[in-house]
Amino acid sequence: MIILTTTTYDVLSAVAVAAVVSIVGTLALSALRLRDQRRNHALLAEVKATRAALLSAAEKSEERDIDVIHDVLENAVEEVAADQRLPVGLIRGAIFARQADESLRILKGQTVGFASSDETNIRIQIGESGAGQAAGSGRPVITLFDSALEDSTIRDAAERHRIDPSLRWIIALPVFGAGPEVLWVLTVDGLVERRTQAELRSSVGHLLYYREILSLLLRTHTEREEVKPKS
Amino acid sequence: MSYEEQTFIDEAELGDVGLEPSERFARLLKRVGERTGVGALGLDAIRTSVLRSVHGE
Repeated sequence: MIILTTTTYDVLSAVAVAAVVSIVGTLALSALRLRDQRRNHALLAEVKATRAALLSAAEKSEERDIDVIHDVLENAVEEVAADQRLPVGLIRGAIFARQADESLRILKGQTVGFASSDETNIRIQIGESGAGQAAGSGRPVITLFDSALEDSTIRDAAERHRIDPSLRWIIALPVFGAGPEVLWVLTVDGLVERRTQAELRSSVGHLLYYREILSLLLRTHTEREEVKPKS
Repeated sequence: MSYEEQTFIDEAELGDVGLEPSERFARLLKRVGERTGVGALGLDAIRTSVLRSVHGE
């Protein structure tokens, strides 16, 4: 038989109290951790929802920018077709962008009237052909072709052979960024039907207006792209 | 040279030929302004900017 002395009883009581305190403490800690975890989950869900909303808004802005820029390009083509009294089907338009390697490539989707996707992948160096010379000089350039396929200003034969052989003329306008640097080039060109330099010159004035609004839109679009969250 | 002719245009030499905004452009600018806010400054501001680039005013 175990006889509990006062001392033994006190020790056991202390141990019991300690055990209870420990259990209550553990439970309290667990509850706190659970609360923190729930709070963190809620915060994480909120962050994810905000990020998704931002990405969605950025994507919608990007789609809208691209649509509006294309609308401007289509109208520029129609304007020149009307000026030159030519069917819209014989006039094409494109927006070239200056690349990091200083070449020019057409902005994705920013063409009107191009039948071949091969031609829309053309790479033109600064100083080559109408677009490259507009970018290099900062001035509008009118080019009339005998044969665009033999345009010796495009040195790379593979690139040159992407061009539609029925191309007869190009009007190329430099599009400036915020400063004096040419960041894009607007080209409107004509197939099959020849035009004189004097005849095409009358369309340059109209195209200056399209160049102006394109500069504003492309700058805004580029700034938006730069601040867009990365997915 | 395999192209027939190439002309670099001096914008200052365009004079005022074709330098008035067309009705098509005015309609486009209104549409662009409504959709993006860009160009909402209006046709006069764009016209002034174009003329400044031509005449260097």
